[in-house]
Amino acid sequence: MIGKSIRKWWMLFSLPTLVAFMVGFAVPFILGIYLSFTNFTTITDAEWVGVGNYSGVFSDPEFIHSLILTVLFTVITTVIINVVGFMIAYMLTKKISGSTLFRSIFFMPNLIGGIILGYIWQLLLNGVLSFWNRSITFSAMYGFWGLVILTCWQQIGYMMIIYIAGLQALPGDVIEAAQVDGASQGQTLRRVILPLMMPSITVCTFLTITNGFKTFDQNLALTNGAPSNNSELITLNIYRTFYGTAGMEGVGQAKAVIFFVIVAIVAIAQNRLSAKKEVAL
Amino acid sequence: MHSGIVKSMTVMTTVAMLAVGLAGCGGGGSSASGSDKGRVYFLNHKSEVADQYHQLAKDFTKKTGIKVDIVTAATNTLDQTTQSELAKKDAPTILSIGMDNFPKFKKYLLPIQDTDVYKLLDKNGREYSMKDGSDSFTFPFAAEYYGIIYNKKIINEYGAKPYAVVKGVDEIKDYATLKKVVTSIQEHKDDLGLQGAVTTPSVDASDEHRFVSHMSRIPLYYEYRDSNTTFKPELKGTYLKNYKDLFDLEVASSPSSPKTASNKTYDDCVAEFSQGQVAFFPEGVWAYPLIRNNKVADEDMGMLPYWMGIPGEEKMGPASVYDASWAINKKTSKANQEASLKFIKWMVTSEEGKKTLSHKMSFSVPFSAFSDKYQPNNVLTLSARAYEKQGKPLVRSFNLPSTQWGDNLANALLEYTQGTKDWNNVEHSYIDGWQKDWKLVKQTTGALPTATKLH
Amino acid sequence: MNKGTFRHGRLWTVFFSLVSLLWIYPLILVIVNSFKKKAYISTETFSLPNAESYAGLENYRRGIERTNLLVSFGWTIILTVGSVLLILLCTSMCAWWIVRVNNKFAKLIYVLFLFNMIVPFQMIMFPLSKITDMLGLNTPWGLWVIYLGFGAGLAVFIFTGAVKSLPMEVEESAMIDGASVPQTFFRIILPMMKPTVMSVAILETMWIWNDFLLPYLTLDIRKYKTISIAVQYLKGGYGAVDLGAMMGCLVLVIIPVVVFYVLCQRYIVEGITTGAVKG
Repeated sequence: MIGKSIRKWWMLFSLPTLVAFMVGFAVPFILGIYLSFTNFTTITDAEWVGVGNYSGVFSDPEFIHSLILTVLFTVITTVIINVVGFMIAYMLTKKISGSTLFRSIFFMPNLIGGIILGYIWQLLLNGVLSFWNRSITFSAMYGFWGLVILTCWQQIGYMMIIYIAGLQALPGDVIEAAQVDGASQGQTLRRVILPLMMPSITVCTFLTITNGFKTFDQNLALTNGAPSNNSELITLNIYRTFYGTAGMEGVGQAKAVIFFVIVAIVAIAQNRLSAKKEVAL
Repeated sequence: MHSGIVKSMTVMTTVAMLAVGLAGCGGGGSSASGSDKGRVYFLNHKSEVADQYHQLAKDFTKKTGIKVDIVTAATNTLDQTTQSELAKKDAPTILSIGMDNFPKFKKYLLPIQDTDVYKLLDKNGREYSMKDGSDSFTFPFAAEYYGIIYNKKIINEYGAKPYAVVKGVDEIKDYATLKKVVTSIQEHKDDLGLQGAVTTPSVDASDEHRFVSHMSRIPLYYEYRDSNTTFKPELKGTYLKNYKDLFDLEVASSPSSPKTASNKTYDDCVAEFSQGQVAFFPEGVWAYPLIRNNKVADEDMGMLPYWMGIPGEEKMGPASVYDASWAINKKTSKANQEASLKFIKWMVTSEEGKKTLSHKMSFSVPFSAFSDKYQPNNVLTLSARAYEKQGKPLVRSFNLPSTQWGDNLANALLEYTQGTKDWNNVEHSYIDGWQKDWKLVKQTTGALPTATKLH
Repeated sequence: MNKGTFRHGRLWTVFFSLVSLLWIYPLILVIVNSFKKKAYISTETFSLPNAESYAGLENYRRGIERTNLLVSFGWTIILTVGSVLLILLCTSMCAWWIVRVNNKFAKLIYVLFLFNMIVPFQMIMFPLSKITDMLGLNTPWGLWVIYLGFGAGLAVFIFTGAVKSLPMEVEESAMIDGASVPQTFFRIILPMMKPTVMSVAILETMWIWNDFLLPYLTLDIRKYKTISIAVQYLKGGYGAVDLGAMMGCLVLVIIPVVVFYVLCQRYIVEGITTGAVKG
């Protein structure tokens, strides 16, 4: 009965969001798919070229390089951020004086924009490397690990907050029962807490993986791909294809579609996997 | 209930309008300025003169009522900005075009040979206007010269020492001597109270233009000379070994170690020379405003040709380039094109425009209205032009394929300097990149520059 | 036993104090360097400013002047506040509508919103910048619509979760008492969802305030720059990077964020937690 009377109000309740959704997402998305099969400089002059752009993508060694680098980057940051974030959260839920202050400090970098973070770390890393007479653009390895450090610094606090919330919501009696039964701290952690924390772990892994793939601002500000586009992640490669070279817009859009498919597959697969695990537990 | 519906219908229309109608508001604001008079949107790439351009724009608007917007995007972001701005509805009407991005943006440019502004260009100006077939597309607005800038005072002080290989700068007549002098100054830099002989070759993004847009054109010129042509889609790289020789000399004789060189920015490099810490600075006349009023007096500044040991180079002067040019966007409205041409015409004919361009911006402007009274007070320009008067022609600057080519070359140079990759890699980006990028230009624009006889 | 854990706790406090210091060190380093002359920043990064290298407030002055930073602050505030308010209003209404109507159409758009969450910005970057320009949405207030559209997914998702947990009886009795549908929503539903509103507000604010690429590609650069764009312009817009001005700008950009954090810390933490649990 409520549903019916509310339905009539679709123009007020759902239309504004839907219109914006069309303008800001749906139309550009469909156009994006279409344009990936065309040659264009502006949208109005698109000429159909079929899958030509896609074959162009895979013959671009720099794209492949950036893709591999992005996967590596995502795996490494996901592991570090979650392990460290969890450990810090675990310790800070214990009775340690000052733990509120520590939480605040660990979380702070999240609020600062990627471009700003990039320049902060450029200063610090260049300063450190100058002891060996080098700079961050000396080799792609420096740029890559610099970006890893930056990203961990930024995101550990965020994941820590989520883990803390998860830990605090754990049923205290279960843990007590385990300890009464003579389980050591390590055993309790592994056998009782970790399984119970799976939902939080799922959420955090999901967030870090997508964040890893989508990293752009930090990469742009820290090294901008230097040297020779070797520290370039996939998003920066796509951006450069669009705005750095002439007549490559079609290929750029094809790269963007491929990137989207990868992110979508990872997101869905991750979701399925963890859903299964949670049920199994 | 009924009145309730009416009331809330109003509310929901308002909300829907808010969402959709903002489009109207936003668009209305900007298109209102697009009245009959047209508007001007100039995408400038010389950040050092941005303030003067803004002043000119203000004065022009006051006089004519035509609105002028100026956005500055420096060399390393110019192409990206141009490309994303051209895709917009209110696209730039005047573009900054150089030889390296001309092929890329040619299809956006209006042929200008029939406009009355084109007729105001002097002979050199028309010659260097970038062409395709019978069409001309650009108004060069600054004749510039590059070579090896020196500090006469330092060289004279050095000349008085017992270990000096020359007495003064006049004795430096070829590359072999120059190299000896540089090496000797570097060796005795502490005694001379210097940091080094040559400014640091940083090849950082802010400094790379010295090596990829200018120094790289010297071996190019001589290779073209050998083939008597003005364009080749494939290069042999005959004189890259000379490029390497000069580059190595700069690296070995600079205040920085090779590994820290890239930490320096262009500002730092200029400071080394302007503070009198080094004797030589391979760069163009545009550095003059940055150098003057520091520790190098005007009468001590001069320019040597960009020598690197290529046979026949001692008969030539420094290099000239009419690279910086204005061009009109073909795809903007007729009224906007007219307004833009009017703005350019005003800049090169009015007293105010001429004074600003020549005296304040220090451009040597190839328009006939720029008589002797309107020449830049730039001692480096005078020094470079003096070679012409001695019968030494200037080295011409030819088209480079793309900004990407330059960026890749800069990266290769950087890695060579730091020792992470070898010289082959530089030659590879120079020669193979040249071929690859011109092929790409041909693919995307359908044509290559037309080659004519050089002599 | 008790005594033991206490001593342990002390040790951990010391440990975490050290780590925390290390954690904020990059920020301190930037602040210290912002008071040095630009020539000393890259050469003596880790030393404190001395008589020779001390620059006073010169870097701040130059940074503000070169980037027009204060104006950028204004635009960023207009852009962020407007977008967030519009997102809160529209998506909460939409979410309520979706849950309560729950027909095929409602389910379809819900799935579309879910889909929106997994699409990276690069996918729509070029067409979106073209469309915003064609529709004249290239202003800070025009981008409110774009952020509503592109950011709808997460917000609708969180709000639907919240609506589902609300008891329907309250709404039913309100409507039986003669309240219209909008009255029911604004007087009853919205107040009940206040924590969720805060949480969405925090998440969206953090995103939009710091976003770089979307405004960079869509705003009319002749008139509007956000702070991220202004800082990036400092690097890209001038041949040489003025490290001094850069440090000044970085500090000025970080300060309001830290102040905001100190004031709203509780909400931020709650916001992220609800956002994550629901997401």
